[in-house]
Amino acid sequence: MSSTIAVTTIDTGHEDMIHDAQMDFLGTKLATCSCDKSIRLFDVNLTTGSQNFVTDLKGHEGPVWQLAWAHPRFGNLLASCSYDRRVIIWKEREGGKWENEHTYDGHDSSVNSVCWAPPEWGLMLACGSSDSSITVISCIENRWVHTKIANAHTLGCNAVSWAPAASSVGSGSGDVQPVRKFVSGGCDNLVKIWKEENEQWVEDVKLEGHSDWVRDVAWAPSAGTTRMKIASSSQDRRVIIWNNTEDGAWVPEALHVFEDVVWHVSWNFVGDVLAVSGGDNQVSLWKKQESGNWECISDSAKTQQQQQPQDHRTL
Amino acid sequence: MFVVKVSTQGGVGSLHALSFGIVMDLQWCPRKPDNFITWSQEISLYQVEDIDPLRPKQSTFKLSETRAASLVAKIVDLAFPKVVDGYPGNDAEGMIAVGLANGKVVLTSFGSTIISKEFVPKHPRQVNDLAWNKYSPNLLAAALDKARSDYAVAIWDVAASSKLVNGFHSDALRPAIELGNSETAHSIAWVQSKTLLVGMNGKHIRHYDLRDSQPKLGSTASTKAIYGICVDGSNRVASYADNQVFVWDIRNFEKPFVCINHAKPIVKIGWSPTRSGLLACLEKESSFITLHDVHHATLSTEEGDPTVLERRLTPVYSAETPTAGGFTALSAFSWHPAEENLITTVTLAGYLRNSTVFERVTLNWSSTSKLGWSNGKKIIQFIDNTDGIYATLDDISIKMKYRANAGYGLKTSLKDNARFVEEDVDLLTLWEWLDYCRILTDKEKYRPSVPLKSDVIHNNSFEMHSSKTYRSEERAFAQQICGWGSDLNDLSGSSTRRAALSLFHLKLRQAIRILNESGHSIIGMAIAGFSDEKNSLWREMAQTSCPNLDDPYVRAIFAFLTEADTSYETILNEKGLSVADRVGFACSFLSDSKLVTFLQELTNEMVKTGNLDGILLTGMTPQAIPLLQRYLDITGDVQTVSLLAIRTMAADIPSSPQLQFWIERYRELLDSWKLWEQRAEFDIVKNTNNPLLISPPEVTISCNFCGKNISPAGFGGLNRSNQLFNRFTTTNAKVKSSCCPSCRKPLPRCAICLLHMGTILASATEPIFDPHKTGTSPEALSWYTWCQTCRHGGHTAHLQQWFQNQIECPVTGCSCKCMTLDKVIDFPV
Repeated sequence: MSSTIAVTTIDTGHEDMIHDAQMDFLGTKLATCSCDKSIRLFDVNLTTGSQNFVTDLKGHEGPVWQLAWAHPRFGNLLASCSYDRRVIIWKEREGGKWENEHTYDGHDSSVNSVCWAPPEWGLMLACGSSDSSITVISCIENRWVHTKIANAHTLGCNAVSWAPAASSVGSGSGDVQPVRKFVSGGCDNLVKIWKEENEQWVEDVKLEGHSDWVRDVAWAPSAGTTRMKIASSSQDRRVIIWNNTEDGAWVPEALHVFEDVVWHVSWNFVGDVLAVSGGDNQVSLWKKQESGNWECISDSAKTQQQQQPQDHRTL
Repeated sequence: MFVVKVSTQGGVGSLHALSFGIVMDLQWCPRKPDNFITWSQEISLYQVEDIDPLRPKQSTFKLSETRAASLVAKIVDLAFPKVVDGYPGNDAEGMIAVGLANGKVVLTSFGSTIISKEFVPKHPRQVNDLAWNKYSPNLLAAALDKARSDYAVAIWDVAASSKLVNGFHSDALRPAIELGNSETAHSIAWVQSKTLLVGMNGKHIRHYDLRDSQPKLGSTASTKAIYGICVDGSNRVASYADNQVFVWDIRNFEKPFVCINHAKPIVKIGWSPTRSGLLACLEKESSFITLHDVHHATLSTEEGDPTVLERRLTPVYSAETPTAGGFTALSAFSWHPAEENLITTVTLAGYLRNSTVFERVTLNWSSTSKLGWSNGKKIIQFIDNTDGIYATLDDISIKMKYRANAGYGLKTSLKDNARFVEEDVDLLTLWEWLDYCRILTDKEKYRPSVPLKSDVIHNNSFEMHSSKTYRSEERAFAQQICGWGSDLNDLSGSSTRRAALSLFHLKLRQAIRILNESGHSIIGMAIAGFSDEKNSLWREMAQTSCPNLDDPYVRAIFAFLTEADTSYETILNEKGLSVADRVGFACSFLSDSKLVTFLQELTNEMVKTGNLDGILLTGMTPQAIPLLQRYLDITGDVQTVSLLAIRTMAADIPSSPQLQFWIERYRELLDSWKLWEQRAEFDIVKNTNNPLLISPPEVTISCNFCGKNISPAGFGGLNRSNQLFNRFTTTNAKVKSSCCPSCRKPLPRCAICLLHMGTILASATEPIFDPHKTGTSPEALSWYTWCQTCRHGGHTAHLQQWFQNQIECPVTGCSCKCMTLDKVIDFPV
């Protein structure tokens, strides 16, 4: 099967460790960020798959951890968060010029994760910080408003991920006003779901299951489905899938215990395949089989990975 | 000095891990990335190469699955080397500095058999540490034990007095700089080309500045952690003592910013040279290396230790490596100078192993089905749906994209949509069935009467046991929907299905004939032997062998013939039969009350399993929504449900948030695939099927004089879709107004032909352009268009013609470059 693997390799030109790479909604733009404090933007040619370096965004004074593209209906907006305690929202102006649209510096420590809310909620962004708080930043009538959740995760928040907009539609109830929700994971080994209530963010559910830092959380996208799922990965080498049952409870389901820390989890667009990256430098893909078990359907990506270090040498 | 050259053919041993002998420490050569040095009593140089799986060399030591090392040379006659440091300069490749127990520092090289230089202190004592300056490679610093009225630190400029010659003259050079009279230096490290850190006297680290001729003492940190000083970047420093590791910021040297406690005493520490902030620590007699990611140390201003991300690296030694008490104790490690995060470890018994410290791999799955991850420092890798892996994923979005591209769901005839989903029998059947039903319902408008009332027919004339069947208009219609037409000669499907259906219509002979004709004569014969006798051998045999038959329709045939009572549960619950056939059967053989119960149960089951066959029972009514939702939950096929919604349930869309939700998701999906045309077509079909879904126009054209909407009055409501563009269209025969309907003032003129807006375009009947070429329809050519900036405009055809040769606006005196203002973006498809 390895003969059919068509891996596109992009040399980002960063001077230090890459921390994130994000493709925009249309797949025409790629943004990468790194320990070298910079963000680099690329145009992706969809027919050839090639990419051209466009520009780099400099403004952070520390490693840039994560990036997030806003929905294109708001224009080209990119959010970044950094070790320098700041969140910067970059906007593309006329003529392809990128400018700092907004800087949020209300955190006391490294900001580890940013995630835009579903476009239905308007321009709204959640960011999690090592200072144990989470901030929801939203743009209301062209003003940026910040709502802070203090003490969201003791010792720090590592990841945030929004629930899809219509997750509460279609559960049969019909006209219920959808509730805005997001999930976060932190150094207190907890996964927490937050919901907006009377313009305040309150803890909705606290999910206990991990025995070490939660490194990443990912709310499964909903392509029209009513199933709600959250994947969480942890320093404890485990990935847990949290399934929302009809009575609203969240039931944990162990995906797998890995060899090493599990850094990231990411769902495909339909939310039925989960990609997992671990400390053993392997990327694996998991799908729920009809038997009800999650099975690794592809470890080809990891053989690719293992071969890769040698390619480095020749580069 | 005696260097042993080792011939590569000389060694004995297998390709598996082989002991290098006792190894005290090791170091990768700074300038030759495929060489490393190990030392204990003797100093050995090894060359690393890729293992050629076809021609394994016997004399090599395996470092990893792909790399092996072979001994190149040995230095055997230096008395007790304590520390070795490879020369970081370019000019003398392979030169090393060796610090001996007697205080001598020897410069030598594996390339020559002769000592290049020797530095001898006044008083003999042990050399504790050596450090070449990588910024100024001619500077070598040595940390020595205490001696009365002698210095603890000696710095030599190896290039100063004489060139590195290969002649034997052990001129005991004087150090260029000496520091710390009558003191002890434990470890030493260069920060920059002229600044130096020295751990001294067991109690402090001193920061010396050597830029002036007179060395200056900079800041001093009081600490017992004076061993293993090493520098990361320009400011970050680590040192250890006992089982504590401290990380310092040189700019704020009073106290360490991180203190890490270990369970056992530390043996060696070292920063990764390829990645900032990654510190490796080896504890005494442990089988793993602890890695501290100091980058992740929080900037916490609160009291207490900031957390440093800690990981553990256990080198995987092969099974034949000798272990001590079940684990392989490590004695030393060395980072590779260039290869990303490669670390080589050696056990107490001298076994080496390469390991890679893997970085956090970022991972993102984009909405366009691209999965990207980082690989090492600078590389991002992607796979997309062209990749073979994607085929194994069976990702529905790929299928949906393909089908959307082909025009799935938008064909005028419902049946034509089936050919896009040929690989999916359920979907195929559904589209065909919907088409069939549309024709059927178009033919006769049927209103079911409630409650169900049927006539009972006792079939005594039948060749088999007396059976009861039920008839009513409703049942007949339902059977028609199930494809159970009254004409038995017109059955479709497999021969066994046709035989079974004939039998269910109580035509035993026809069933046997069909079976015989289709090569199932054995079954036909078996059926022919049918006996109504309750205890006959035939019945007994048929009943026992029935469950073993493969074909569900054959099973149904036997079940029907051997059924003891009239509940027919075996047939009704036979999952192998199509839902349509089960319903058709029930309509014939179940009593009114039983039929209703059966249908309800079956419907519930269909909804629960999201089985599309259940549409037969729910119809494309709001009742089908839970079933479709379930189907969607299982398959993720938002495309089919959206298409079904707009094709067959358009009237229900405004009242169902669920349908709206599916449709929105699907439109979003089409957007993300940039299938704009398909989305537009989808919207057109949706809006044609239910004009209520057309959103009100967001733009109106207002009169220049009175500011009122110039659209025809009284317009709006249901029929506006027909009129939406009529006001611009002059090609149709309708009389168009060229003045405002409210104030009767004339509308603006076309800048080219000077006629009022709304007048007929003279040349409209003969398009000036080939419409295919311009991509504009003939109707659109006669529309009125205008520049968003200068507000001048005219007939589209005229303006297109004008701007073919002109850049500026056609209105005299207006220099607006209308055509170039709008950025035309070509989206690749």
